[in-house]
Amino acid sequence: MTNEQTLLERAQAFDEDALGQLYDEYAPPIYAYLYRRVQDAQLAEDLTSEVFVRMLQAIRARRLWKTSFQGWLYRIAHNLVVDHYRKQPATPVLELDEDLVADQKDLDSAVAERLSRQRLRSAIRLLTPEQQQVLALRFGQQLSAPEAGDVIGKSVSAVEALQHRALAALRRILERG
Amino acid sequence: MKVQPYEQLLERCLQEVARTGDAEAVLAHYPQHADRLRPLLQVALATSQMYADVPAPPRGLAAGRRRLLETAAQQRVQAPATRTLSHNTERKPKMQLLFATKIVSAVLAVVVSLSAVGGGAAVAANGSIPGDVLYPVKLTSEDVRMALASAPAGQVALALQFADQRVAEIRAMVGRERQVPETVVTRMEQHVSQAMNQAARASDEEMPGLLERIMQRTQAQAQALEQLRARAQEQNQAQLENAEGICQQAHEEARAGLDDPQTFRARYQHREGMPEDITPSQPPTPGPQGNGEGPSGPGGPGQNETGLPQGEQQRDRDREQDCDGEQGQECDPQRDQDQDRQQDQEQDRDQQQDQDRQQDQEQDRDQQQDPQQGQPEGQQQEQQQTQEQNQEQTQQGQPEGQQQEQQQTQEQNREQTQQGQPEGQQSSPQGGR
Repeated sequence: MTNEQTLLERAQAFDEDALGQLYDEYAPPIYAYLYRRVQDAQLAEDLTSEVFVRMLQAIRARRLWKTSFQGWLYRIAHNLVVDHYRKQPATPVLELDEDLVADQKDLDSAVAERLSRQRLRSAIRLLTPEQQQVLALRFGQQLSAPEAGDVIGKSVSAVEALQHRALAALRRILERG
Repeated sequence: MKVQPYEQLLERCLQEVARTGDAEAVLAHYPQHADRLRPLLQVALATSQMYADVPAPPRGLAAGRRRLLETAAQQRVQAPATRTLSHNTERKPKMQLLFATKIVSAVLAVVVSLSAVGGGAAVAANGSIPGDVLYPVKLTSEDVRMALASAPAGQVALALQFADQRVAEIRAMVGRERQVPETVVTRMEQHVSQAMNQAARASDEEMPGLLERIMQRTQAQAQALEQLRARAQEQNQAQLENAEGICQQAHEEARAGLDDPQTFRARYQHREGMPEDITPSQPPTPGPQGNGEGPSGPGGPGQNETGLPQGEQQRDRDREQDCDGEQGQECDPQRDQDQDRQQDQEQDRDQQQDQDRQQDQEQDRDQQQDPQQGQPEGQQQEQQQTQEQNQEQTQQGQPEGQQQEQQQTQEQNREQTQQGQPEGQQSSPQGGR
């Protein structure tokens, strides 16, 4: 039995040390994933905390992971993000300052870079939740297609198709400006 | 060069770019696709760079760790839930199956006789809820119908229908501010488990359709329970959460079964011929009318399974979004054994179903004519809602966001090929912004 399996078994018995170790190992990547999804550090931190409380509740109810524990946590995190946005009143996407964009070539590279990222972030928010999810998992968390598929609950080919659609949509949004 | 789908080619290029860091070198291997691939690789690279920028958590994640350990300490003092889906249930001896069958046959005779005489008890029992004197009659009637249904399709359909009944009963009890007995949730779990077991026995051709149906129904049930939980009394929260978790877990396992039928079959294989599939369940001990009965369940506090939003559990088959949407009342039962015996069984079942329909109609009439004596609001609503769920499950089983997303994806797929319009432009996910 691997160390992680032992750790997970202890965690299922609410062993404090095991839970602490799991948190220390997985909270940082979960936080990073959540930040990539919500682009708000404070909110990502709060949601990270909630992910692990949900984890406890699921353990208690014996609704456990089937394959990857980490993938399971990502899944909880994704669903929390979706729930969060569903409950939140709609807020406008951060509009780009068109003048600034037009004069981008005159700005120094750091500001131009920031604008470029802001534009990309805004564009990503226009994608569907699943498209955002696959981008964050593949290009943020650096998961492989099978790993991402495990999180999303899709086959590898479905992940590849979703990823393709996400990138194509993103490209069109960015081209349109 | 081997012809491969464009998505696979993109994936291969992404992997090579991630490994080498040189997009142009990778594109040089696919000159005929370079113009199309290049912008996608550029977007992917830009996205990777943007995602690399993650600020440190403002409070250092320490607060979350404390919260986790405090919550764990609280939960340690409570007994863990013991609920599992049926494949973890212990076997019952074969003799019990035979004995149960005899009991069911005897009960069938009684029930049919009662109905033939005038059906008074059965009519009343049909609308009963836990705690009512005639509720055990209702359960027995269900057991009989199940015992006579042909496997697997008929039993799957019936099991899901009975699970709907349990949800409706829970809704009625919440509406009356009565405590939902644990036995109702346990029985609902038996129905769901039975549907899974029967699906595992189905042929390769039949299994996907049955699993799809289980997914749809359990999703609708989970959503109904989630909505109910929002207005339920504190005393019912644990049972509702437990019931919702059962539906969600079944939904996920059915989905996993679609992805990997062999594993699903193997997982449930040992359940073949399990006696509890037809064993009449112990009805909840009727308590005083109007009062709660039965102990509160062991279901834990908190949210639904793994926090899964209902909409996100809908299987998105990407380009296979064309949902058949069929929600017939019953699947056509397989006729796989003794023809004569089956005909007899079907006649009996049809009789029973006709009686049920009559009972429903009579109840509806009674309620309309005499609302004073009719069922309380919750009970009436429950029947209506169950019917609506049966008929429109595909839509009702999904939250607004999920329906919207499905439509969007379908539109996107169409427009991708026809108009080349931006995909994300049509959607307003995550807050509809």
